[in-house]
Amino acid sequence: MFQYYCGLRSGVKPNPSSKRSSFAHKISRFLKCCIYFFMSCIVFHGIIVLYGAPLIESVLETFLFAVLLSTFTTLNCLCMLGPNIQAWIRVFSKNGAMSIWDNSLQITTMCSIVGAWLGAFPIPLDWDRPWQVWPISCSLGATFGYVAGLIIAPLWIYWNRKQLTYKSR
Amino acid sequence: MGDDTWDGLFPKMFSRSYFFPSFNVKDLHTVDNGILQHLYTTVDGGDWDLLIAHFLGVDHCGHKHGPDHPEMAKKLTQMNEMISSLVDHLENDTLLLVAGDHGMTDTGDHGGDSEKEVNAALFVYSKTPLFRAGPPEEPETVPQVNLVPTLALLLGVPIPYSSIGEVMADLFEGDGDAVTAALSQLAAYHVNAKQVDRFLDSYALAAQDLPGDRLQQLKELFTAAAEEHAQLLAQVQEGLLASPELEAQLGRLRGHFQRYLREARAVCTASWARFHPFRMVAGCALIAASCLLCYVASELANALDFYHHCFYSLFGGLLAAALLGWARVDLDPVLVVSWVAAASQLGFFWHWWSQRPRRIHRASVRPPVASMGLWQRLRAWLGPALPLGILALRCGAMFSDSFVIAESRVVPFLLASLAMLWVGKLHWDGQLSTPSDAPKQPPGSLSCHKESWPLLGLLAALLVCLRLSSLFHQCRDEVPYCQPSPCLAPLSSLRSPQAKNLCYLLCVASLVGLVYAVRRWLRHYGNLNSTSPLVLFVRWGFPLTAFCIACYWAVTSGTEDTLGKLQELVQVALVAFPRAVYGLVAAGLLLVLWKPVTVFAQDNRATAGPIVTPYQGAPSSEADLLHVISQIYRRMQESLNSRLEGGSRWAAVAAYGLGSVYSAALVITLTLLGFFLLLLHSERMSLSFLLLFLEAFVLLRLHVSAMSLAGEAEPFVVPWNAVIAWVLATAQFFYSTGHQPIFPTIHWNAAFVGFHEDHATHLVPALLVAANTFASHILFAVGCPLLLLWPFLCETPGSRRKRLKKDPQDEEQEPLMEMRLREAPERFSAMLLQLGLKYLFVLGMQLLACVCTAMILRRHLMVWKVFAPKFLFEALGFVVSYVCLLLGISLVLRVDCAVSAWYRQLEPR
Repeated sequence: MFQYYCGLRSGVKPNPSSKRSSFAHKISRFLKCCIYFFMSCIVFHGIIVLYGAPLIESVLETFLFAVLLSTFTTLNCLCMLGPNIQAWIRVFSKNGAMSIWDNSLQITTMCSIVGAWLGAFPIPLDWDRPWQVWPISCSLGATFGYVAGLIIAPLWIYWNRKQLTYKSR
Repeated sequence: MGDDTWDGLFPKMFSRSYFFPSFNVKDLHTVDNGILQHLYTTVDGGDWDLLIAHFLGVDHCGHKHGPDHPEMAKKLTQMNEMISSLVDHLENDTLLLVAGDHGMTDTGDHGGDSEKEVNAALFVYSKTPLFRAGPPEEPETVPQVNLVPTLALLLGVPIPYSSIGEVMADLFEGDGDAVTAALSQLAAYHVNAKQVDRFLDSYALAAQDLPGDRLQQLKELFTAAAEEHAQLLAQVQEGLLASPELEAQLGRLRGHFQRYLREARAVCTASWARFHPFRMVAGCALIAASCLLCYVASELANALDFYHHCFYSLFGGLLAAALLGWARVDLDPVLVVSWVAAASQLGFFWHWWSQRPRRIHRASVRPPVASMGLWQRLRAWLGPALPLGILALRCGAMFSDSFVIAESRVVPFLLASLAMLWVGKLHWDGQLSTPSDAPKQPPGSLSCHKESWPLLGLLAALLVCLRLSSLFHQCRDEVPYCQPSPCLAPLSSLRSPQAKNLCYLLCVASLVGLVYAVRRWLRHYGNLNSTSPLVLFVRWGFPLTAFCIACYWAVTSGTEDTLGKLQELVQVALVAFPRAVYGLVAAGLLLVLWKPVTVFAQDNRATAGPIVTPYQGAPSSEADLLHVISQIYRRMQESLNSRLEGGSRWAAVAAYGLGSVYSAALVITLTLLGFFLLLLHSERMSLSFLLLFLEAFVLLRLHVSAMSLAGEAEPFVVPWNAVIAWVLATAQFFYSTGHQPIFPTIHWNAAFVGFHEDHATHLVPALLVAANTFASHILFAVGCPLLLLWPFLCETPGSRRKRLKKDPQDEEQEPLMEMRLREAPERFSAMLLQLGLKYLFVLGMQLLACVCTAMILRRHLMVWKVFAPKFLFEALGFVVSYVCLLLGISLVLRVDCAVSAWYRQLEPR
């Protein structure tokens, strides 16, 4: 879901897939990936602040949390799909997954986002634990979510293998 | 002398009195100066036993300016001087007691139970030395109840019967040696303990709520101590004991008495908070059943047999009332009402249940429906499950005191999550991107839907609104390092004149923005063209109201000293401007009720043109009118067609603003209410109100574009997403208008907007304070029918045309907008009912969670501080929302009647 906004807001139009596998093309793709990653960090940062994170206070921690989230989500997408936003939009919709890789991408990304979201829950509690400090709990949540996604994805694919073969007909 | 509350509490008890009005918080000096005028002469006169001087300036200054204001420093210096000069006037045998009845929070308020509010200073002074060995370094904290027995014994009167305080032993030492001092202390303790024992005895006879075993223990403790005391006295009289031994015994005995008195107080405080578990459970069950009823009824509202259900529930209720009346049970009215409610619900559910089997039977006739797979059923459930899950989270958050304390941040978080989920689910279902035919096309062919960009823009706007609204939060005293929003303080508390002017301009700008936005909106939909009184009011009355509010702010934001000579004029203006606003708002609301139709009709039937298009003859040349969506009422035209035989001559009535006639009335009402509520808040809160209207607008637009993207076949049904987002926004703006569900943060100042002197009754101030506290509840509940109306309003000509293409007979493809509602009046009222029921269900679930919390956690440490106030605020908010929802719906129905009348009036011409 977040991915989608990242994609849309970054506003960079992907160039049609030209099959030149020259060195310059690879470099430009790599640079584009870097730009996308940086932009997704900034967009995540914005969304986190809009969700109620402090604006000025502990801004570095917030940005690092955004980088962590981008690592768990955008980086995966970049590695799997390349800097191709249309493909991202396709993958993150109900019938968009065309391979088990797409499915696992969906699951890990969503799990890390949901983990980060759940990580915000213990912050107001009065337990006085060191890990309740912003953004430690959210980072932990995102990490655990990502790990859970890594575990769930193969299991889910295994359970639904019949449906998946049906889908990729 | 001083506070006139004493006169109210003890009328005609004082031999001489000088009382001054105490209720006006803004008045810092009347009471204090009045006291100072009479204090010294009275003290010097010497014809008194007890003199009470109740100063109020410090308390009022705390409420008005807060503890860290230069005014407070002035006030405290004045009090200090008063005490030091009073000391010089005292006789040798006079005791001076200076006590505060409460402390204050960092904002200068009180009424809660935080350390800062509960603790107050106690200063005891006498010219004869009180302490034999100098005053203690760290004086112990004295419970306030201890003042009663101490003062009573010092004055030589009996301790009041029901006091459970303990004497302050330090004041009974006298000026003898150690043994005599201890003996006189013991005598005081003995009297005190006897009094408490007597009270406990007679109390235990009258009421059974004190635990028997504890009472027995206390009794034994008292008897033992009393016997020991008697023995000791006898021994002292006989002179049997040596001094050190005696002192040790006296000290031990004193400890016994102290223990007895403290334990007695502990027993009483522990058991005087009593609960009725059965009634609690029954009340919870009743609320839960009501919520279930709302849910079931909202599902049933489509069905036509809804009136049967109503009939059965009415029947059940009447039956129960009749039964109770017949049995002549003498019960609380509360109990009677709840029995009747339970019976009526039973009637409803019984009828519903008896209808159920038939429906299942009917379903089994059609096998495809029955054999719907588990997966598909889950899918069908998933739609409402997401928003209801958010609602469940919100209700669950009420069970933790930390979450209740942090609720001002929890609610926006949940609302943002809900909006994200809403949009995300649309994308997940593939409704944001145009479907491509073959799934294996190259990925580049997938393009975004045209409407998805505005949708994302709306989402971003909503998130920004949510974030900005957190700038206006008030603080709870549980949260350390929390700074209340500077916007909450009145402008008069700003010291730098430049900042004050800037803020003032900002407030006025937000007011102007609000007026401009509303007028712009009305103009866009063509509701500002007619010459009906309501439209004239919108044109001229709105700016006038805004002007009055701005003037009022200008007057209040000045400091007291600067306008020396104009003081009287200012006093008049302080009253006149708010009353003018009240009057204008009331006039506007009456106009809305009287003639809510803001339609400008132009009758073209007289002209002989062959085909008169609605656009011909637009009433003014304004550029905006190019957008004006003119309306032709279809039925009208058909009837005219049939009347004018041949079809060669067409005639039409061009009506401007007919498509938005319902929403226009609601928007005007909301703006009027907004003015009224704005006035009750401090000046800078107007920014928050602007944000409120903006966010409501964004939510409505989000709701509409989500609906149109989802391709809802049924525009009448408001999805759960929208209703829950609406309720969450209500809660969010409760906090963002500077409120918290605790008593110290109630804005009592609101009671004095437009009323400078005391109120004759308590009704007006109560209403004003309630309107201030539940401002967002009022606005959102009245605006609730907009959720149903808005999708019709935003129906663009293009989208309709697409759908109407199949229908070649429709020549003019004007969007019908809200007139679509009139085509199906049955469905309209049913859907209005359904929307109301959904709204009530969501509110009721929140209330239920609060009630359950207060019930389950009734022995929790935080119950009086967090859960009980939260419950009270939520319950009151529910009542306010309920009433306002009914008012909003009835306003829509009133408009409906007026529109029908308008058609009837049009027809015979």
